[in-house]
Amino acid sequence: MAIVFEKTKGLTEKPFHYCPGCTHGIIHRLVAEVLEELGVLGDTIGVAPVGCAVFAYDYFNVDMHEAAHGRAPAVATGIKRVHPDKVVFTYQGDGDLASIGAGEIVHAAHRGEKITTIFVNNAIYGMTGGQMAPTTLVGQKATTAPYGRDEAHTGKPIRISEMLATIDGAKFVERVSVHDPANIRKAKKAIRSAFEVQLSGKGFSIVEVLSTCPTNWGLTPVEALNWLKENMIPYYPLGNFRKPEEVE
Amino acid sequence: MSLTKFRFNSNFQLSKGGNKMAKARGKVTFNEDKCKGCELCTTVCPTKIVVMNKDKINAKGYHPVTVFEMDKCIGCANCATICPDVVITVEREMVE
Amino acid sequence: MSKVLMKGNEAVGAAAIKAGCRYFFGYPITPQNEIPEFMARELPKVGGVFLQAESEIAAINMVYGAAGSGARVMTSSSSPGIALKQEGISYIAGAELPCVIVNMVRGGPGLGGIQPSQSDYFQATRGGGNGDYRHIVYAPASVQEAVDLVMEAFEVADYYRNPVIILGDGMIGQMMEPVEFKEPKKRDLPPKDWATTGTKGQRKPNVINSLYIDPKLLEDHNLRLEAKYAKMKENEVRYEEYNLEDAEVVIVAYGTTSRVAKNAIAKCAEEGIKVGLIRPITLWPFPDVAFDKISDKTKAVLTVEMSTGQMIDDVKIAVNGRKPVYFYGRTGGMVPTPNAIVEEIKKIIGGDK
Repeated sequence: MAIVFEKTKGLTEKPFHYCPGCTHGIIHRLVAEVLEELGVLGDTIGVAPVGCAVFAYDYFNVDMHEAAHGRAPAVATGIKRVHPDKVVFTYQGDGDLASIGAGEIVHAAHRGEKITTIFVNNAIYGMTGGQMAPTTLVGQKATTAPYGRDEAHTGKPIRISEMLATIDGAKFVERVSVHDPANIRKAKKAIRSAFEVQLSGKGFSIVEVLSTCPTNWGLTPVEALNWLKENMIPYYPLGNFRKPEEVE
Repeated sequence: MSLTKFRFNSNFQLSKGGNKMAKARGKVTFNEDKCKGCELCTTVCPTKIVVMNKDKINAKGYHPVTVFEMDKCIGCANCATICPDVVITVEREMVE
Repeated sequence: MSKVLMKGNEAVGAAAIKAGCRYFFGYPITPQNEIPEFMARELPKVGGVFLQAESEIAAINMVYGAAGSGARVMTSSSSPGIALKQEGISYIAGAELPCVIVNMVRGGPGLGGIQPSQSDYFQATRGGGNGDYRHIVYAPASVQEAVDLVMEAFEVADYYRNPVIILGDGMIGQMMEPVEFKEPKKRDLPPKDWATTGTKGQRKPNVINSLYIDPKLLEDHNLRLEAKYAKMKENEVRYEEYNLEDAEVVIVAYGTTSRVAKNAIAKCAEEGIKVGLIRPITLWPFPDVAFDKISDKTKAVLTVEMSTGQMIDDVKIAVNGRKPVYFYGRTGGMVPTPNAIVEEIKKIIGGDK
């Protein structure tokens, strides 16, 4: 028999520390597979966030930087301006990108930085134990929103893809999900297109990946996939918000 | 037989042409000690053969994934696609 | 009054609310998350406002706004987050606003680690922001002391119109100890008629500001601040002296490290070695006066810190050449053990040093 699926060379041997069923594992794998298939593993530099994926620098088989919380797009800018011929990506959660890092991601997109951002949106703060995120849904409970997110007090959740798509320098903006195999395959396609936009020198690219956090949502991994489908997708619609004409 | 590697994609031909329908036969292997018992794989198998092995505990303390009826595996790789810990390797061949 | 068993972080939150704090702006960071989580639960019950800011920088600026509007307000964070707040703290000091800032120190530098440390001493006492400013720094050594100092901090902040720092560490924040909430000594506080509350057409506008573009005016402003800080040095010094009489060695330690030191002192006593302790409770103003109490019999001073040596600079200034000053420390989140301190003391008196 022929092998149709095996571990990609884009990942190191280190086992993931993520919780059982956490979709970070799937997303790391998709990024690593895309980089291997594009043949750019040896020319890639990634930037890890502060959040559950803080140890991403141990998992990707490429040069990696740690960044301060939210500052990955600025760090990536420094790297890409020194190495314009290399593939540079950031991997960020919703606290990192949409809260403290809101300024940095807007300006990376605005300048049209030729980097690719993988934005993992699980509507909560994972690593620090379940606090509210800018992406937490109205009514959703979190440790700093113990009575449920109140729209009158803290507004509605932020839709990053729609917001960044209004910026000219953001040449590829797509929101995907990883809650079932069909969507995982679509997510991989989007991630590949995003990196191809970088490789063709067109500008900034971002893929927002709707993800689960079973531990802090208080659900089993399987229940968490359903919660994502039923609650997150209606508010965060899947699809492409911006692409250069050539991308299908 | 040389092992050729190819990626599963939706254009994969299941029929060899003509009137004969070839069937896919698959085989999955598990890196059991990496399994965290999350059970995501058990929800996506089209032949419903992926189960957690309740009689076994792996090095991490979880019931690892297993398949008892490998003859029903069609090598679709859904389980490996959704596994967050790269536990599963999938093989496949076409048979008459 | 009955005692309640509470986790340090939650006790800090409860103490603030008891002291009349009704506004809290913060951001998640380990190991102090229980403080914003407690405030999120409890402030709405007393008509207060909790808001999780988008970052520590936004949080300290929210504090600046709330303090300038006349409120009792607090923020909390841990080392890397406190580093972000330095600009805001400088502005708050320059604008002469009251507020309480809690730092549950963790290992550094940079992202560092999440285990307890005392490596923010310089940041707290020298002030990481720009300009000639100071703030009182309280270093509790128990959850009860943290409660007492937080409650007093709001009085002190209002009295001087200045930020007050509570310097804890991950152990104080995470451990559970019995606490009582006693009323702090109330100070004679003038009304906050300088606050921005709306002129209602009845007074000249109040301006909250740290900009003085004329250098002569800015110097005058700094001299006024300096006079205020001189009063703090005169009136607010706090420390504990323990076993100083006839001590062969005097340990200087603060916070949870002082508790480890007390265990080491007890072990030394079992072996007939007399060791004393000076425990600064205010790290700024530093208790120089305590060091005048060191007896002639004392051979040396040993500074013990969870850092590579920061308070030792102030110890040397205070000792002023009168005794040799030694250092023992662990850093990165490692905690010194009583036995290791005992070994250091034996080395000192054994003449190996």
